[in-house]
Amino acid sequence: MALDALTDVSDEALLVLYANGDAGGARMLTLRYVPRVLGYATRVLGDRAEGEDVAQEAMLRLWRVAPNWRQGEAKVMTWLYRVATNLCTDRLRQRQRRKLTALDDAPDMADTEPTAEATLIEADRMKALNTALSALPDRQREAVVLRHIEGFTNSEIAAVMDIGIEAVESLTARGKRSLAAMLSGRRGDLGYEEVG
Amino acid sequence: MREQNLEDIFATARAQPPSDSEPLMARVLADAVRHLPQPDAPPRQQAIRRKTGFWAVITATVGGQGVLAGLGTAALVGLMFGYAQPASYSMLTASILAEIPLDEVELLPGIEAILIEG
Repeated sequence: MALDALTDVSDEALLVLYANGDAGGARMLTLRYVPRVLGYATRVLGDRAEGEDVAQEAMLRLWRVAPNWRQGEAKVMTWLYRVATNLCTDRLRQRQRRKLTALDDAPDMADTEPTAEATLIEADRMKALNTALSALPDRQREAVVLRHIEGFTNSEIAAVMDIGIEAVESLTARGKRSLAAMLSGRRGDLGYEEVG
Repeated sequence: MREQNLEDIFATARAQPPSDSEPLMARVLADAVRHLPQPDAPPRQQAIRRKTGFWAVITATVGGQGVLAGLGTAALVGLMFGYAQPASYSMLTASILAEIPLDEVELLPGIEAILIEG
């Protein structure tokens, strides 16, 4: 089926299409979710290559589960982020076991050449944000990214992380406070210095 | 840092264009094609084990267990008639024609007759 015809089709219907042997459903789901899941996993892991591995593995699991997908039980988006979160958590635990931390090697998410002061400041802000995110505890980082960057609601985050809504609120609030504390010393660098 | 400053940074992060993921998307689509379900494929044939025992062959030959049971019953009844020698048809027709009262006709002899004849 042509991609244009699938623009308004729901995720669940696309998955059914794929399960019925139509690769067009997979193409549209890939376009919708690979960049998002990649961005999320990269932010949580602080590593682009690992983020790509997680995104590919999460999508692969979606293809495998498609023929047995039970409609109405879960949303494709929530399911995908849940799988990605679990994969990220596994990798973070492995990393801890290996005593390998990437806290000092924050990724540069904005891969563009700064051409003006505003662009420079924006790039600095993203770099500072990613550095601060990397310093957060794993669960706080996942919750903050889902809430404030991916735009999930608290109930969606609860479903993704398999925790209660109160726990989500606690994680996001503590994470946000920690981020604010870490970034407060760099207000001038980030263009927030008050004049006067 | 103020709350609003942090919200600004989050908003900037949300507005970032998605990073180039074309090679990754190509790999994901290759996975999708590799695992594309084939719902119209004919179901895999299951090997059917046929029963080959003696009774299975006999049953299949006569047309089923019910037919076999009926044949067995008919054979037993035939044997019994042959052994017990029921009353002749002439007596039956005579009784029908009212030459002999019906209550005197003995279609099947009593157990005493069987015992006497050995």
